[in-house]
Amino acid sequence: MISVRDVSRHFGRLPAVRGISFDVRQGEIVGLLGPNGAGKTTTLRMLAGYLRPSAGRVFIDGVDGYDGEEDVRNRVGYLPENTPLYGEMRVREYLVFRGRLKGMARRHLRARIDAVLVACDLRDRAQSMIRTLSKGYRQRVGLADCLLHEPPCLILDEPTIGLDPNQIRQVRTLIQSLAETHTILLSTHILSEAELLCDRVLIMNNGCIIAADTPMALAGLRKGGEQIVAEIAGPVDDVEAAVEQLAGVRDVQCTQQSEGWVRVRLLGPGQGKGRTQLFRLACMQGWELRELHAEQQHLEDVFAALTEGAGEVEHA
Amino acid sequence: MRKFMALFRRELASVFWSPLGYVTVAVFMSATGWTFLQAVQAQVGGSLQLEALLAISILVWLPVLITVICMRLFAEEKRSGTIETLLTTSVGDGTVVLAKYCGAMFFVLVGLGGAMASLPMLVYLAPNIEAVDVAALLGGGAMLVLVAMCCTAIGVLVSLLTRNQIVAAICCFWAICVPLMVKPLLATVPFVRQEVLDRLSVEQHVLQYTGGILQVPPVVLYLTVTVLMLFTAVRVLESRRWI
Repeated sequence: MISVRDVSRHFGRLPAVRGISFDVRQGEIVGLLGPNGAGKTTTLRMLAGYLRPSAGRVFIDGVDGYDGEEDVRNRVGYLPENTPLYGEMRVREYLVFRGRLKGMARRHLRARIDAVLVACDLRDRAQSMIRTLSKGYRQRVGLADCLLHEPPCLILDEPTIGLDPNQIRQVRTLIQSLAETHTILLSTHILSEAELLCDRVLIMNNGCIIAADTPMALAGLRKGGEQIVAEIAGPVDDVEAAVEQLAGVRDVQCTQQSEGWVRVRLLGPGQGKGRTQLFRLACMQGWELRELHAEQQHLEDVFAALTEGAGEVEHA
Repeated sequence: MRKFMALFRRELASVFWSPLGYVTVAVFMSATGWTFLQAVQAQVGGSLQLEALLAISILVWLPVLITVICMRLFAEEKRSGTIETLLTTSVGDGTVVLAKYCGAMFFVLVGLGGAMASLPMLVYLAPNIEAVDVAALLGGGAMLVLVAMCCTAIGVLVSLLTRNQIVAAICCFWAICVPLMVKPLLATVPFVRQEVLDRLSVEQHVLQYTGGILQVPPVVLYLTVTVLMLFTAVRVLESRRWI
């Protein structure tokens, strides 16, 4: 549905996006993550037709963004960062204005406005002045505007920024409900949100895509695989020495606990291999084992590792 | 056309649904009226006709009226970010510029019309003045509309260049003052002939039209500058995609 091929964007001499390529398949929710200045907004602006790439091509629903700019805009619903709206207009009036700008016929527009007001739970606020609405409602108005012309793709730039937890949950639920009928590309700083909402995430840094996969797969990207925790009954020095001999094991930390137990933390090979090795070691040595688990890694760890250089990754 | 009308109506609504439009027009009419009365009292027995005095009084305050309307045209959209939603719909950049220009011109015409129509009342207030020559008034009004078209186009272009309304207002005012002050400015340049100065002088054009001398060159001049400014504005708006 969305196809980006070798796209770069320079502002003067400053490269904001450097030769990125990715695809978003129909019906997917894809999250674009990255620190400030990574090039997320510039990428979304190019997809929405606000900016043109310095090099490369963007295709939306098979239409080339360069040759068919107007067609592309008709296929995209774009929600910019901070949801800019005309505060002096009423909600319905704003949607009428936006519908006319999108070239919608009057009768069709009326029906669509009623439909998006229902979809975004704005029926009670249809006659409210936009400037009197809370941030959460303003966000809904922005989303209603995006949906008005029934675009197959939605491009949302930080749709939950500045909202309180309740509003974030409401907007998130709304986006999830939209995913049934739309392809969604969204940028966010909230990593838990990406984990919850997105089928896949793209992590950007310095204008490049440095990782692209499902949140689950990315969470296992850190070199060394799993962070394993075990509690073994045995002499602390012997346990430490034996564990360090295991293949692919790094960063072993042993702490003496009460009643002769030793708490072991280590970075072991992924896919459960480290835990298997540790279990066999305990059996062979005749040490009791009362705890053995891999700590779940979050996207946040991978994000920090990738964008701050806090750790290494297996494949970027 | 539907998209143009939607934008045009929004421009009008943004001005006339707030006190800004009414206050500005009221201040403009009061200022031109006061200037006109001062001019009439100062030149009892002078050579200028009444309609010409009114037209010149309006010309003096025209930059202020145009600045107030033009300073927010694009600067406000850029500041609030609505320019991004506006330009990611299927509306062409030319349509956006033209709709904003027409919206601003409509407002300027309301101000000009109000100021011109206030002449009968001013005549009543100044009993030493005789009847009004409607033809002269219309002639002067037509030239003022042409000047306003040109100055508003300059204002639209200047508003596109900044996101700060104060900066836009200052730049608009001075950019609009340049064509209005072209005669005194060029008069300081040696070897510029008086004939050239008269041909370029906005004041001279207004006086000619109120005096019934309807010449084509000033019309061509103002229309050309208007088209040139609007064309440049469209190009500047398009340039955001590349720069």
